[in-house]
Order: sequence, then C-alpha cells, then structure tokens
Amino acid sequence: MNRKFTWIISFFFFVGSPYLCAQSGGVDSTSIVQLLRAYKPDRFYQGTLGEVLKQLQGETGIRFEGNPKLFSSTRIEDRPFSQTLEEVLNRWCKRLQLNWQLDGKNNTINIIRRGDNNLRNGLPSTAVKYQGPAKSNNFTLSGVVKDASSGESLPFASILIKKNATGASSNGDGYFTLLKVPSDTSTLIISYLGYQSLELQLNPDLPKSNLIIELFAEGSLQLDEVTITAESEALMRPKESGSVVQLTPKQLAKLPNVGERDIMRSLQLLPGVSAANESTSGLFVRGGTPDQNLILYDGFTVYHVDHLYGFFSAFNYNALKDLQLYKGGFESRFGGRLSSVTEITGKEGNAKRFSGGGDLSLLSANAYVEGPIGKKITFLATGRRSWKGPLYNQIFNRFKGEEENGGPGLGRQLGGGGGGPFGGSGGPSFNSTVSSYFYDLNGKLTWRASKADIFSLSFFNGTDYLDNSTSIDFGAFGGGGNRSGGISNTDLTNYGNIGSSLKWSRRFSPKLYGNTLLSFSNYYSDRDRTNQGTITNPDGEEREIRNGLIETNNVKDWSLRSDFTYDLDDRNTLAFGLALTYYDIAYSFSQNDTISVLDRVDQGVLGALYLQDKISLLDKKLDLTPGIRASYFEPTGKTYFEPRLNATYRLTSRVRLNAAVGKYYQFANRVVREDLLSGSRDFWILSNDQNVPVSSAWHYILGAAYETPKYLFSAETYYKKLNGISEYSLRYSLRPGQISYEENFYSGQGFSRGIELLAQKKSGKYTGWVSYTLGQARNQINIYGDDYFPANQDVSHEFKAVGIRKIGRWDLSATWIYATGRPYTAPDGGYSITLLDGTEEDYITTSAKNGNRLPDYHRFDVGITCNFNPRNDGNERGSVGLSIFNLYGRKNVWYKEYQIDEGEVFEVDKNYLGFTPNLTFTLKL
Amino acid sequence: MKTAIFQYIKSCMAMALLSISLASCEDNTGIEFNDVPVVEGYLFEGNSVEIQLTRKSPFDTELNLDPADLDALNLNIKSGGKSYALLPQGDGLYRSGKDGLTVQAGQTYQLEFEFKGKPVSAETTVLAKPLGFTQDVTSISVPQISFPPSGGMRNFPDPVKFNWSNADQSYYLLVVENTETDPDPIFDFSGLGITPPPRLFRVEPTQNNTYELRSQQFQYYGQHRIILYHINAEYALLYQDSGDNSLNLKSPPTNVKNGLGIFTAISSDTLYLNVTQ
Repeated sequence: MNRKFTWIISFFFFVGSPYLCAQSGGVDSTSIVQLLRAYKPDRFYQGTLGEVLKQLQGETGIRFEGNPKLFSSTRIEDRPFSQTLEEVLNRWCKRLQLNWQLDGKNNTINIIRRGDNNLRNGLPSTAVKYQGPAKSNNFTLSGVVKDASSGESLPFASILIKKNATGASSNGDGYFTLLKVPSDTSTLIISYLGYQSLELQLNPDLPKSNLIIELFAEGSLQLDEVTITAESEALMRPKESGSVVQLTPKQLAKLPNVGERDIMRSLQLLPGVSAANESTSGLFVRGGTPDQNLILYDGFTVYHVDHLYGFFSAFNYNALKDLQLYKGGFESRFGGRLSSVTEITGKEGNAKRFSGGGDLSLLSANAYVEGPIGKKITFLATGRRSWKGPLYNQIFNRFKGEEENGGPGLGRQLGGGGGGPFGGSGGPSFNSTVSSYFYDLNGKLTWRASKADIFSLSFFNGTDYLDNSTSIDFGAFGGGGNRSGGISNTDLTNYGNIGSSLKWSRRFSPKLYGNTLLSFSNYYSDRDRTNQGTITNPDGEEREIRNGLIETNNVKDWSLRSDFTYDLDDRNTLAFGLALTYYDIAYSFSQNDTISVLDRVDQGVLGALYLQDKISLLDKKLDLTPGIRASYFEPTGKTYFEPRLNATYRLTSRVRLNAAVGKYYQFANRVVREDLLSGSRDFWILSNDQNVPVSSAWHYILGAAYETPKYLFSAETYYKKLNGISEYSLRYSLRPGQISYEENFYSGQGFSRGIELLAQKKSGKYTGWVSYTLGQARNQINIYGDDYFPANQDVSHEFKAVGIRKIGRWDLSATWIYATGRPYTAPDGGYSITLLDGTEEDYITTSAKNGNRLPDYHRFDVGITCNFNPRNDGNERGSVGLSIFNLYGRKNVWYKEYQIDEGEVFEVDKNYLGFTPNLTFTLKL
Repeated sequence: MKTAIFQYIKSCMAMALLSISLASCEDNTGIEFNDVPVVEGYLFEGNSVEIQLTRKSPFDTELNLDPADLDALNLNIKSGGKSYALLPQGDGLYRSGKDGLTVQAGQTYQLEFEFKGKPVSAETTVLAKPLGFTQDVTSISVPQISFPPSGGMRNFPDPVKFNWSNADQSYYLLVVENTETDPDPIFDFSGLGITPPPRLFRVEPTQNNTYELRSQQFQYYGQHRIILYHINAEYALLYQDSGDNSLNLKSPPTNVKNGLGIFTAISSDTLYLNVTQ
C-alpha cells in the first residue's frame, strides 16, 4: 500500500515537478525522520545525484538540497534492497565522500561534501545508523545471491560472517544458508568472481529467510552494499578447499583468443591443466586424459567438447554463467571419472529485462537473446555458427591435412601431386566438394514456481560437419585412350553432442535443499575416410575399388539424479543423493569397406548412492569432509565403494593447508586407438569384465596456500595411482589368422604425480598469475613391456604466465605458455628374419613406446580489447577485440606423420597454428 | 592512456624477443633408437642348439652400433631344471657346447641373456613329430608350358592330397623343395628373360589336417621333398601380413621379451613326390 502510494506520489512529482526542490510544501521533519527509518527504496537508481534524488523526492516527498554542481557532476547507480532510506543515504554518502543532514527548519535534507561545514543552518546531523541492540542471536539466515543487473542467481558465491570464521557458499542455484549467525547486527562479506565484493551489515528489519543479496559486476559504477572491500577482477579463483578453481565467463573477453572466447581454453591456462595441445579443448588435468574429466553442463554429461578439430570448445560463453573445476580429490557427489570434474552452470536469462547481443569474429557469428516471461519465467537462447572467414579457412586448412592420407609435404616427396600418376591423354579433372561448418545452440527455460521451487529445462546441441571430400575424373587413359575411370575420396567427419536436462530444485526448509535432475546426453561421431574408384575397361566392364576406414561412435546416456544437502547444525552439513545412468554405447571400425575390425554395442546401468558430511572442528579452523560413494555396475555385476576424505585447516587467516584422499572409478572410458602413422584416435566404450576393465584411481593430495586480499601463493602436490587403464592397438597380431580384433584391447596400470606452484595477483591495475607444474604421467601395459612408459599426455614441465591490465576502457592481456614436448612412438629401424622355407621376411620396428619427445611447445598470445562505454546500469554495450595467437610464429609440432613406401619411411611434421590474428566485434543490446 | 598501451606493446615485443631466443635453443628431437637384439633360433628335435643374434638396423644412418656387442653376451638355454651355456662363434652366432644339450620332443626351452642391462628371454616347447603324414600318390605327370603357347588344351592331374593327424588343431607348415641338381622348368619362359622361380615354395601355416597340392604350384620337374613342419603359434605369426603400409604400422610378431625375432622349436616329417612330364 505504502509502495503504491509512493509510486502515485512519484508519478505526480515526475510529471509536475521538473526541478528538484521545486515542490512546495513537502513533508515535515518528523515525517522525514519516519520516512528515513521506514521507507525502503526498492528500485534501480541511476543517473546524476540530482536525478536520483529527484526520483527519491518523487517517491517520498522529501526535498533534497545541495550544490547544483555537485548534484550534476556525481553519478549514482544502485539497487538498494530491503534497506531503509537512512541506510541507503548513509551508504551513498560514504561512497561519494558526502554527508547528509536534516534541515528541520526547512524540512529538507541537505547533501554536502565531507569537511564542508558551511551548512545552511548549522544544524547537527540527525542521520543515525542503526545503533540499537541486536534483537536476534544465533539465528539461521537464508537467502539467495543474485546479479543486480540481470537478476541471475550466482552459484558458489562466498558468504562470510565478518570477524567470525564461519561462512557458506551459495549452491548451484544461488541459495545459501548461514547457521548460528551471531546476531542480527552482524556484518556479512559476500564475494563472487567478477563482481564487487561487499559488506552487508544486518539489522533486525532485514528478513532472515529469502534475503535477496544483489551483487554488482566488477567495473560497473554502482555503489555497493555498504563498503566495497575489493574489486574481484581476477579471472579465476582457487577455492579454499584446494584443488578447486572457479572461473567465470564474464572475464573471458579479456584474454587473447583465436576466434572464440573459450572457457575450456581458458582453463588450460591454470596450473595442473595441460595447455600444450591445440587439437583438443578437452582437459588434461594432473596427468589425466580428457575422458577422465567429467564435464557436467547444467547437470548432464558432455562426452566430447571439441569444435573444429578441437581448436576450441563447443561451449558458447554467452550461455555460461559459472564454471568450477575440481582438479582432484573431488567430493562424493561426483562419480564415474578418474581425474577431475568440470561443472558448468548455464545462464538462466535476464530476469529484469529483455536483452540480446552477439559476437562476430573472423571465424564465427554468435548471437543470444534472453529475458523474462512474466514474473516467474526467464529464458535464454544462444546460437553460433561458423562462417568461412579467413581464420576459419586457416584453421580448417591446417587441420584437414591431418585427415588426408599423407600430408602436403609427403605428397611432394612421393610425387603424387598433380596428374602424375594418372597422367594420360584425357588429363584428369579435380572436383572438390569441401564443405565444412560447425554450429551450436543453447537454450534454457527457468521457472521459479515459488520461493522454494525452481524448474529449469536446459538444451544443448553442438555439431561439426567437416567434409573434405574430393573427386578426380581422369577421363580416358591407357593405351588408345579406351579406358576411363575416376576416384572419389570421401573424407567426412561429422560429430557432435545433444544434451538436455530437466531440473527441479526445491528448498524444503532453510536447512534442506534438493535437486532432482533428469537428463539425456548423446555424443555421436562418424568418420568416413574412404577412396572409391571405378575403372571401366575397353569391354565396358566397370570395376569398383574401395579402401580406407569407416569409424562410428555413438554414446547415449540417460540419467536420473537427486542431490540433497542438509545443514544438520553449524558444524555438520550432510550431502547425500543417488544417481542412475543407463548407457548405450556403440562403436564400429571397419577398413576397406568390408573388414569389420571392431563392432561393439554395449548397454548397461550404473546406480550410485553417496553420503558425505562436512564437519567443522577446532573452532571451525578445520573442515573435514568424509564421504562414501557406492556404485553398482550392471555389466560387471559388482559393487564399487569409493571412500573419500577432504580436509582444510586454516592455520591463520591467511595460511591454510589442505589435503585429500579418495578412490574413484570410471565405467565408460574413451580408449585410445593407437595409430603411429597418422596420429592416434580415441573412442568411447563401456567397460566390462572381459577386455575393457572398470578403471580406478586413488588420489592423494597435499597443499598449502598463503592468501592476502591482493595475492595468492599456493603449492599443491598430487599423486594418482591408476588401475585398469585401457588402450586399443592394431599394432599387434595376437595369433595367426586373426580376423576379429576384439581382443586387441590392452589394459594396465599407471600413475601420475606432480607439484603445482601458483602466484596470483588478484586485484589492482595488473592482475594475472604465473604458474609452474612439474608433472609425470606413466603407464604400464604388458603388451608394450614390463616398464612404465610416458603416457601420451605426459608433460614434464609447464610454465604459464597470464597478465591482464585494465586502462580505462581498454583491456590488455598477454599469455605465455611453455611446455615440454609430448612423447610419441616412431618407426626407428628394421630387420630381417630367415624363415624355414629359406625366404627372408623384412620388418619395420618402432622405438620404445613413447620413447621420443616432440620439440618443446611454447607460444605467446596477446590481446587488446576496447570496451564501449557501459550503459547506465553498468552493463557493457560491447567491445572490439584484437587478438594475436602465437605472436612470434613458433612452429609447434602437433605430431609426426609417417609414410612407408617400399620399406622406406618418410617423416612429416604436422604443426599447429602459426601467427594468427583475429578480430572480434561484440555488441550487447 | 596511449603511453600505457605503448608500454604494453613494448612489453609484448620484449616478451616475444625473449621467447624467440628461447625458441632458438632447440632441443634434440631425433628419434631415440631402441637398440634391441634380434634372435633367430630354430630348435629342431634331436639336434643341438644354434642361435643367430643380430640387431635391428636404425633408420638413422649416423648411428654407430658396435657389432662386437653381439659376441660378448652370455646366452643360456634352460630346460628341465638345467642351464646350458651357448658359446659364441662370431658374427652373433652361438652354439651349444659339448654339455649334452639336445633338443627333445615335449621339452620346454628358455633362452636367457642380458642385453644393454635388460634381461632378454624367450620360451618354446618342442612339439611332437607330425603323426600320420601320408600322401595319396607319389608321382604326377604335368605337361610343360612354353611361350608362346602352342597346341590345344592341356590336361593337368588331380591335386595331390596330403593328410596328417591334428587332433589339437595345432599349426602345420608345408614346404615343398625340388631336390634335383639342375631341374627342368615346367613353365618354360626362358625366352622372355624372366628370372627363374625359386625351387622351393611354401604353403601358409594351417590348422587343418589335410592339404591338396595343385600341379600348377610346381615349377620344376623331378623329385620333390615335401616337409611338414609341426610349428608353434609364435612361428606361424611370422607368416601374417606385416601390414606395414601407409594406413597401418604393425609391430613385428615376436616371442622374445625385450627383444625381437623368433625362438621356436620345430619338428617335422618328410615325404617325396616325383613330378614328371
């Protein structure tokens, strides 16, 4: 009622009073005091101080007076929530170095600069902060953290009680619960990556449940809640529990990019995540492989993340809100992977207004639209598609060569170019049907059915269609020109993901929160690299020739999952849940059109239960999280137990130690198909107890960190023991006359270990980090010998430097990466054996498994982004960015390719991209 | 503002120069040669043991490997709880000494030695002599074929059928060898300057108990020795297509651990077939 009244009043003020203080009459000083303590401004204020105060005057009738120059030169943008006018004025004045005073004689509030005693009436200030006693103690406070501009909930935000070690994180939906808050006058510190951290002083009038806390994006001009404690300009934030890193897509635009702002590529800049691979966006975390990294996008598993030969990922940054990377020792609610977890939360869509925007780069076009539908529903839709710009062609041409039978250099060596082999009277004609594109779509619909219930439907589809097929019609040839024919080369790679999830989140009580999720995920990959030819002889008989390989992989995953958290008391937070997954995974590999090398179709159900408790001990200096996960895997008929324990000990307010130990199982694996000549491939397959065992790992992690408001220094060591790792190789004939290659799976064991060092500057003009990782990943598979050999992903030394400088509207950034070359196996010699029949058989031999190293990898990228002036609400209007990838044009070797011709081996280096500039134009409506 | 951006650009250039200087310190990325011995050891029932050692030839022609390495090894054959030292004969050849080592059917033999600090080993079992090796004829008549062809249709005899016992489906290899000193060719292409075909040919290892030799498989007239080898699977693998082509690279089949080649025991039986004109 009161709000309606003030709106009516304000309408008249806006219409009838163009000037501040021009309204005659107004309210008396007693009413002003009442309004100061009772009225709660509840809207977004923006504009000059004069304009904003005029709005307030319209709402309350209170007249404000002050220096017109001050009123016009000072800007305010703020969204107060549940605060009295008095608190709001206090906050604004504190931020703007102003004072306000009630002029009881003139019934006005005067706004003056601090230190300026030239008051009109010389009256003492009547402004009073809440000074009264607390009315509640040790109470439970719950609420939600949101973006002030868009109303998006902010997951995994930190909410701490000042001067008290206790705190909480918001959950995936932005909700939080603080138990035993000392008093309702305590101060909270709320922080979230990419947003201004703020302090919120509680008071008895604030709601104790469903408290909405809104944060403002870093860089925006808004006033904050009470005090800005730090500008969280950092690109990433290692979490207190160790081995967990948070990254927000909002900051990605600052980094150099080659075509796309890619969150997975950005993760590769973190310590412990290998960066020396441009051919996959998957994550090699602490010696693990990309398939050992569980990727959850809005709750459903994504099995393959690559776009355009892996140059960047299928995740459109416009659709993403938050990302958590668990590098190891992850908690019991995650399962089914050996190495790490990447948990991605998609945007819900702007709850306050419709908006849209897009990016145009030399590679792709990208657009999104979002907004509210009524009061309870929000939506977001994004789409991205490649276009054949110069950068796309550069990447495509670089990587497509890998798909061909021999690289361009090789072709020259063997003289296979032009019409050489087919040179005849008719002369060959070449037809190229190269067509290639990628696209991805994201959509999300969120329905906040009540204060306790949220339903969200998320959809994702990413597809790559890479067709590099050619045909050669060599007309008439041969003696007399009476033969004809042609060869068509099919070189088609088509892969992608479709995933969707329907999630119901419910806050049953401030202490109990639950999510139930139904999801589907499908990864499909079809490769057809075949040469087909027809030759017509003089008699008109047509003969067809065909060779090459056809490979298809189809992974389907239906899952039902429920996760709950229950705050038992202020020392125990229970998490428990269950998960059911039905896998349907098919893989076939055939050569020369007829020989089926491998053809598998596997189905199976995986059921899992877990329970964990986060226990605070030693006056909340020590957090212990013991947990157990039990999984039943139908194909093996066995139950697998995964005990886990995480510990964080806060030695001082700045120094903390963390440790973790745990067991992990993986049931669906991406197995490497070894191919020494043209690069190994991999495919998803379901484990069984026959030739592909269920793989397992033990993690042991120990770390320490020293953190100040501006800096973070951390060191972490890890050791992972792996069992049941699998590889597939056709290199070995296991028995004479072998036709089926089902048994060519080889399994063994492995380990990885290393140490990660990180020094990060989190705020200030310059932000960024330097990191060094010393790592070792070794496998032992009997077919390759008794000794441990370097795993394909083994990188001994990796150094990364990331620097970001903000100067006004300009963001400048640079990254440098150095990594030891990866191991590889190569043909290294040959020998002959005299057989019983007197003939000699020649053999080509290989070096020891992964016994060689590619040259060291390093590259330097720079980026400069000019941001357009932000709108009044602090949101960006857009930007223009120039990135240069591999500034000094380092020829980094991707892999070596070999061609064997009559016993001779030809070697060709297949390189990654050289110097590559890119321009990105971003517009936000 | 401009100054800061210029500073940034200068910093980038300095960083690039530093990186280029690092890049100039290229590491040696030549292929690391995996130096392993190649064993060629056929154990024939009733015979002493002879092992020929070689090593694989590196593609890197600048790599120097000392051949004397192969004559300074301690090769041992173990069987029935006893160990027998093999004596170097030079050029990588080793023979059993006068210590009573004779290959016996049913026995398992292990070859062991150390090469470049790594234990090299292989194991084989001597299979029984082929049983029931028979043929349906001892002589066939095959018409001679010359170039250019003359005359009408030629009549070729029925295939010669060989049988043997093979209850356990083990592997057998059939080798056919002309034993004449100077045999007459069946396909007389002397006028064409074609290199004469070998006097010995083989049939791919089989797990069957029978094989039919077609008359067209013979190249010469005269007496032929038909040897049926009872072989182990490790040897039969050597007849697999190596598959070394541009699409596939296969590792050589071997039963030598930490090495290459073959160490296998063989037993055989022999029949004779006369091919006449």
